[in-house]
Amino acid sequence: MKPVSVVIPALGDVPLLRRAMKSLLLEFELRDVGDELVVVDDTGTGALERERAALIGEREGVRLITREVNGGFAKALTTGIEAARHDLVFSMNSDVVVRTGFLAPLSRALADDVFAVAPAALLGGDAETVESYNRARLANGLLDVRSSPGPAPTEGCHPVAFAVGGTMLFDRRRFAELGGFDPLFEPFYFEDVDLCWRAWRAGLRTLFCADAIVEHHHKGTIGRYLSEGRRRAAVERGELLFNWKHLAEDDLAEHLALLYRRTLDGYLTDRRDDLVWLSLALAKLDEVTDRRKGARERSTRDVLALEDGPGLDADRG
Amino acid sequence: MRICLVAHGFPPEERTGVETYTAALAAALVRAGHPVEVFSTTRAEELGHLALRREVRTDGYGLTSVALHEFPQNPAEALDPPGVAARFGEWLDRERPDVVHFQHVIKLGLGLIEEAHARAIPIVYTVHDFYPVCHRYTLLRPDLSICPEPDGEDVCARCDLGAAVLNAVPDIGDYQMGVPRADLPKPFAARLAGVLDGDPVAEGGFHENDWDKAKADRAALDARRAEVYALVDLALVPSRFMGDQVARSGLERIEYLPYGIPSSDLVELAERAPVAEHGGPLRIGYIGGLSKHKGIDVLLDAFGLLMRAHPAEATLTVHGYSSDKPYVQQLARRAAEVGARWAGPYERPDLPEVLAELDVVVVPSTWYENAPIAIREALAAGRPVVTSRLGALSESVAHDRDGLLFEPGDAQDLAQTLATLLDPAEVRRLAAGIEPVITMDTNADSLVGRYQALVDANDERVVELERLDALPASLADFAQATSNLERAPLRELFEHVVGGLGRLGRALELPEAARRADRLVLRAFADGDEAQRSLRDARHEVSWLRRSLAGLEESRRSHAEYVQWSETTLADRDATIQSLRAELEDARAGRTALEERAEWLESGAKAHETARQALERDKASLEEEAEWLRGVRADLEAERDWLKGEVEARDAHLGGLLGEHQTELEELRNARRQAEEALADARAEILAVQERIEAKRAKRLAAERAWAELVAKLAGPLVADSIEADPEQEAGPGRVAEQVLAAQAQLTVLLDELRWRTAEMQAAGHDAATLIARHLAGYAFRRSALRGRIDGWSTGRPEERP
Repeated sequence: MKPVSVVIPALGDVPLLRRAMKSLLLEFELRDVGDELVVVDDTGTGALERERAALIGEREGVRLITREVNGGFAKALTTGIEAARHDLVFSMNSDVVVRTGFLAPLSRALADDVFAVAPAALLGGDAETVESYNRARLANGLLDVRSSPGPAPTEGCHPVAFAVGGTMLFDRRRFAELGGFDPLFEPFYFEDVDLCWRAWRAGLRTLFCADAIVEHHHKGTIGRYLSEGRRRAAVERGELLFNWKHLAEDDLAEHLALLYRRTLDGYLTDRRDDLVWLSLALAKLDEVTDRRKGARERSTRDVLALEDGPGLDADRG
Repeated sequence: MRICLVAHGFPPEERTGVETYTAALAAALVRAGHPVEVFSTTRAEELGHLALRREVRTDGYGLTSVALHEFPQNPAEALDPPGVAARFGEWLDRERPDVVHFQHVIKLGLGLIEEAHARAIPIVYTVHDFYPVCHRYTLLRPDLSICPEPDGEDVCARCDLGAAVLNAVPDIGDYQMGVPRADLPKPFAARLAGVLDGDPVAEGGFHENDWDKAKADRAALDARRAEVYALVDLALVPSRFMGDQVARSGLERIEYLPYGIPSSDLVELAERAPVAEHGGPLRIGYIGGLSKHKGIDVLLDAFGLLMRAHPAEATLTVHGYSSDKPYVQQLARRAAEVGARWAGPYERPDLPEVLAELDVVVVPSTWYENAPIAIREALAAGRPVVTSRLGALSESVAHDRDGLLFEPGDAQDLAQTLATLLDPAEVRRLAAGIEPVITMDTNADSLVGRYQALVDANDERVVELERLDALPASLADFAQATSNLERAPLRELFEHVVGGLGRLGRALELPEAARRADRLVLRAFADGDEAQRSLRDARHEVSWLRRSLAGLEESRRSHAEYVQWSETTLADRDATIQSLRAELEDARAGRTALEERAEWLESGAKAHETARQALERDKASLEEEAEWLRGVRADLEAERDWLKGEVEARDAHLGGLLGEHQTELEELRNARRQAEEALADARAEILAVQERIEAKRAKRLAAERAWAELVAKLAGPLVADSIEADPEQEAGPGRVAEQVLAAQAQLTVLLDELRWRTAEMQAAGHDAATLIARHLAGYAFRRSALRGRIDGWSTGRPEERP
């Protein structure tokens, strides 16, 4: 078994982090292959650094890296990936609790043509509500790649549109080859979707592995800073940017028509939010145009066809 | 800075002070470079209730009017008309002004202030009247008298009941502001006086519960008003008098800021047409609203007095408008009586021409006023003003410097005051004392400074509320950008997005048609486009229409139920009528029967009377008869007594006789017994003898035959004598027979005598008893008959005559 570097970007919620670490360190102990944990302090204030002794102490295989400036999830994760000692990296949110034995199936599934593998992330620990079995759908000019928690296969590995950055295993060399997270999506949301989609377009698959199980308790720290409305705005903006970046040319006209329709509806029915989300995305129009020019590999329609193909046999890993 | 002005009405629909001021302010703020949106009301019939319509006025500001067709049903709804605040909230969400400046919330409701506050928008409120402390907003009571004690307990509840009194008075025109007691029918005037100054229960005719409820309701509404006014960030008062009055309203920060007016055309008039230089009579004028509390009647009376004292030395022209048509007609008639000219309504652009024809303007208000625009307009045009020495008016006119003051409501004083202006030099002197009025632009600048201070403070508050300064660096820009977009007017956001989509189309290298979509959309949904307004309001109107439809449906159901109820009721009533008819028939029949019975009873009564009379007669005769019978009875009793005596005597006699005869009878019986014994013995003897006789007879017969034969031979008589002559000598059978026959004969005689005597005694006793019994039976019979009749008379029952 190859050792894994687990990277947790953290915004300072120590009790949450401690709980995540506890489950993870147990897994390390059981595996006993030299896995490591890299905690990235993204508070920008060194808040975790001040908790180092209580948090890490003298534990082996656990490191705390402090960013001087808060950079958001993607940047903090990248910092951790860069600092990782192993090629296999499991990126993890601080509000995730892993179940023992989760790393082995993920590692096995990470074949040469696979960019990332996502464990079954049980929302709040509920086995019926899996939030990592993410499929893509193109309808009415919109590529819908949102996470929609629900039932998922209970065994084997299956292709998915993307793996959530908060719970995915990948090879950091592939990560680097793909160019890492696109800052277009900063400060948060959709950078992981975009990364996986780029991998698909580059011929690398993303898989959902039912045999690896983690729990996502959604007590992350962003909610402490931003309201539900603001977080929703980030999701909607991210989806628009993702579409503008990845939609096939044949779908663009219908997509634009959809946007006009949304705009008119929003205006005439006082749905300000639609207009705010569009405005936020349009503010990044120049950047997204540049990205689009650079993305000439496999088209989104090709990716959708691939995603609909047979899943990867877990044994192949 | 995006500025929102709110007013309860707006020109041209509403043209009084607040409305015209708001329009002028909006234009001035636009001139100062600020986007302005006005929120007001409309009565446009083509719009559904609560529909919003936006138009862009030529002065460059937007005017959104909410259509109001449903009127408050009670004081609480008057304070908070249902649904209006919510519509204002939606509008605020759309417009996202940086500041809301309320001019008035009457008709719109206090809820508008709450809506602005809920969105953390700074709130400015100009106090144009006394609404913050008086729900009637004038401090005038329903009889148009000035509120004597604005702080008084329950004084506002008295006004509520007073208004209720006016509600009941027929044909008094527009009484919303009030009606002088003198104009009311006496009973109503007395009741109103009782309500306002006396005991609303004892003198006002209200039930104690109504009075208690009025107090409780008004206290609750006053509390709500104070609570809402406390949300105002800055209150502006155009007069210090107003500031003093509303200090207890809940408004926390009150600043004095005089009105400005658009005055350039008026200032030009002052230079072009100076007053009192035409050489004619003094031209007195009134400009403004024609409400009852404006005191125009005082002015007309004063002008009448002035004309009597100084005929042809002055003219009076009344310019203005009021929806109170009966009052206007009354004023117009009075104007004609005193020789004043009734000019009617005028538009603001016509004002210079109106004022050009006047030397002095009179503002004869009988309420406190605030800072009348009309006074400022007159002064701006260089026209001295004569006004009441009342409330805030003396702040607007400096007595003997730019105008004159007179005692409010005093036509005599006003006439005398105007008389002093008959000298043109005096008018010119006052005109010369007029100082430049504050222009609307100056006023707007003052306001903008205040707005900006509030907005800056609010921005800091928003940053604090959204914790933007405490966000991690990676989130700050995104949060700020989102916040900015959320605070942008929807229209701007829409235009921004449509423009962005155009750029997106070009960036995505879409076909020309798609790339031109932004221009097409922007053109189609251009600001002020009717289609857009219709589309936007369609859903609200549909919603309103649905509500109306639901209301109508409910009404229809209710009517249907009512009709059904009516039909049922009618059927019930028909049945009742039928039943009543049947009862009527029965009653008629009963009446006939009763009449017949009455007739029968009458005839019966007559018969009874006749019978009674007959009975009376019978009674008399019976009494006579009774008397007679009593006589008879007495006789009978006497006779009875006599008979008794007789019987007793007879009895005694009979007893004697019986005794005698008893003894004799006994003796006889004994004798008889003896005789019978003897007879029996004799009979036995006889039998024996007879046997012997028989035997002897046989012998004798034989002898007789022998004797006979002998006698026959000798002679028969000799034989018979020989037997009687010697009966004892010869005691043979013949002799005994002869003795028996003799005893039998004697006994027979005795028995006959006994029988006779017994019969004689019995006959004597029987006859007496029979006579007495007959008399007694006759007496008893008569007495019984008499008793029966007497009983019949006493029970009133016709009694069968026996």
